Amino acid sequence: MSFGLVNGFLVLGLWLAPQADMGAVRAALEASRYPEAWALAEDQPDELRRSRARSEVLYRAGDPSGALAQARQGLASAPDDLELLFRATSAALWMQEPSLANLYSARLASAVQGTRTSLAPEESSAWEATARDFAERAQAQARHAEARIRAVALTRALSVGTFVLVLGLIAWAARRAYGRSSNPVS
Amino acid sequence: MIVELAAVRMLAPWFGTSQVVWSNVIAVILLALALGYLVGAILAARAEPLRILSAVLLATGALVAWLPLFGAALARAILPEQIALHEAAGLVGWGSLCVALLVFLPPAVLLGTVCPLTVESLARARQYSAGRAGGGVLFLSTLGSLAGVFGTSHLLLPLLGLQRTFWLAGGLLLLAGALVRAVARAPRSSLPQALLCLALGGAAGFPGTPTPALPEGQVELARRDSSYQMLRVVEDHTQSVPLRFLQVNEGFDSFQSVWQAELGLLPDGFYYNDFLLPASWSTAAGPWRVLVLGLGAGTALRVLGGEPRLAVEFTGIELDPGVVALGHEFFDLPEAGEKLQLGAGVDARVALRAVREPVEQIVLDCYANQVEIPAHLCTLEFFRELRACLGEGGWLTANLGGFDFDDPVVAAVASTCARGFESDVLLVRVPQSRNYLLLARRGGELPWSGTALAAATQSSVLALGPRLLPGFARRVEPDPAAAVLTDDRCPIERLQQRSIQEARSRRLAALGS
Repeated sequence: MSFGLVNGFLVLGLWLAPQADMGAVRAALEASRYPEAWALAEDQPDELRRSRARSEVLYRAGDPSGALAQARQGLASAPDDLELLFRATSAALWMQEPSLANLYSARLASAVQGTRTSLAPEESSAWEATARDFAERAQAQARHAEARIRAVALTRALSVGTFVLVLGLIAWAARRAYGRSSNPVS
Repeated sequence: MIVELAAVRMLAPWFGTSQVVWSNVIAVILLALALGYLVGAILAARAEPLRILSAVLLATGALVAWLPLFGAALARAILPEQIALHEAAGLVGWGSLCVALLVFLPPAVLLGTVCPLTVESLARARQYSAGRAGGGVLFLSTLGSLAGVFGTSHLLLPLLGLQRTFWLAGGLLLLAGALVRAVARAPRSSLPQALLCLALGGAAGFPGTPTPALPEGQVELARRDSSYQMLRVVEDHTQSVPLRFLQVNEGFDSFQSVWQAELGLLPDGFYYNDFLLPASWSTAAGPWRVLVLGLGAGTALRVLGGEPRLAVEFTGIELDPGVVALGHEFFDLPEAGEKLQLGAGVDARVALRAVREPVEQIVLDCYANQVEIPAHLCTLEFFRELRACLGEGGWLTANLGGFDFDDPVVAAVASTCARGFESDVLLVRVPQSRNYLLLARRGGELPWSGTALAAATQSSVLALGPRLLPGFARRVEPDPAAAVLTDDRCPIERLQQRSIQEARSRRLAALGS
């Protein structure tokens, strides 16, 4: 795990510490009491907190797709929420969806800039490092995906080209062999 | 035939041996032979076909010795590093076709010219009619193909390995070329010596058949060629505990068996842990007989053997004896004894007929060619046979690779299983993995709370944890109207292709992206 990501988790921990309800969710998760954690998430007082908690539970449960869906639901009403952006980017990276990871890491970086004045300097710099780390990982995934797409395109072009060449040779050879009389065989 | 069969095996570490790869290799060989026959017909019209035949055989022999090196180098150049299985859909098809065309087409074209050249030479030398000469050559070449098919699969590949099989094929062609050259009384030239040197260069040019590079932190402990597949044992030191993986024809990130030093649960994310699910609800006392179909190197045994509440007795069935041998050597798979019966070299479906006593649990984990469930091991008839092997209240636990509950493979197999068991079945998502566990019972209640998996009623080393969340399990009812997989019609390969190809679009659609 990179330094930036560790920082991110630290910041997230600090951020969540004062939220007693979320603390209960996390305690249940730590104890692997997932149904209880889910019930606590459902009991959160508003939609934003419910989305945060559900996303956290699903992410910890090993369902990045579900976590991303919950984060997106929350982001619809709170587009600059750092926690939801953090979760959405993490989930997109886990799912190896570089376009989504790029999108959310850029939004996270922008949201960190926007909330700079309301954050302590160390918190702010930790969030910035996390956003940078996410962006780098998203770019690495994007490069990997591009390499794969290029490889498919190259193999397809080579295959089709060779096929066409062989078919042309067959047509030529067929005309050459049977288009005119050849020596008798017996 | 030696080259054709060995070609598939050469591609296997890079692209697997799925039906797509087989189809591509066969198509390329047929295309090349078609061209070769025509070129042979043209060459046969020349003055001395026997000398041309000699040159063709010598050149092909020299070329064939180099094929493993060419093939591996091209595959390595084409495939990006560290491709995951779910990313490989397009690359398996186009990549294997491309390598087959560029590597195997030239020697196969040359080999295609052999038949018309031989017919012509025979007809001219012995004054045979075209039909008599052609019939004799086809008779002998078909016998040769027969020997090539059996010899390659059952003798050459297991005994010599891939690289030496290619060398042997090349050597036989060189020998045939030299003999034909002697018969043709060709004038002295340095061509045979030059081609022999070329072939030896290919043979000596590299120490072993190259395989895909391993990620950082992984080391290869062993590599074998069995009658069925290329096997590789890899040890991974990047985890909190060292893990060993058995890879079978694998060029991607998949594996067939896992080992850790301690008996019992593997780290999170390994579906083998979920074979312990029945222990969370079952109250059965006495011996817990488990039939493992698709034993691999014995991972299920080591996981289930770590549950202290169950007095487990195993019968393990594995098609490839080479896998079992590696299991003994690297995965602490015990020898057969009182608590373990081993059926190595036996097909899972055939093994069911030998089950004399009903069992408490069947573990079904049969995969071939990286991602494919064999077609005869996912049909309605097969699930009926499995149900018949279970005692009352017995459990079927089957591993299904898939990306979501609506994945074509997961949905079709679950639906077929429900019809075969004539009762509801459960699909449980394995946390942190791309696997699903199919749970079915012969009689007895399924652990279902109405919206999710029911909480455990018995103590078990496996904590159900995330599996109890809504959305982590689904109940599937037998639907008489739904299409099921049958012995007569089982398009599982097509479903598996769709599963990989459509995974991303389904996932993004679910997100509304």
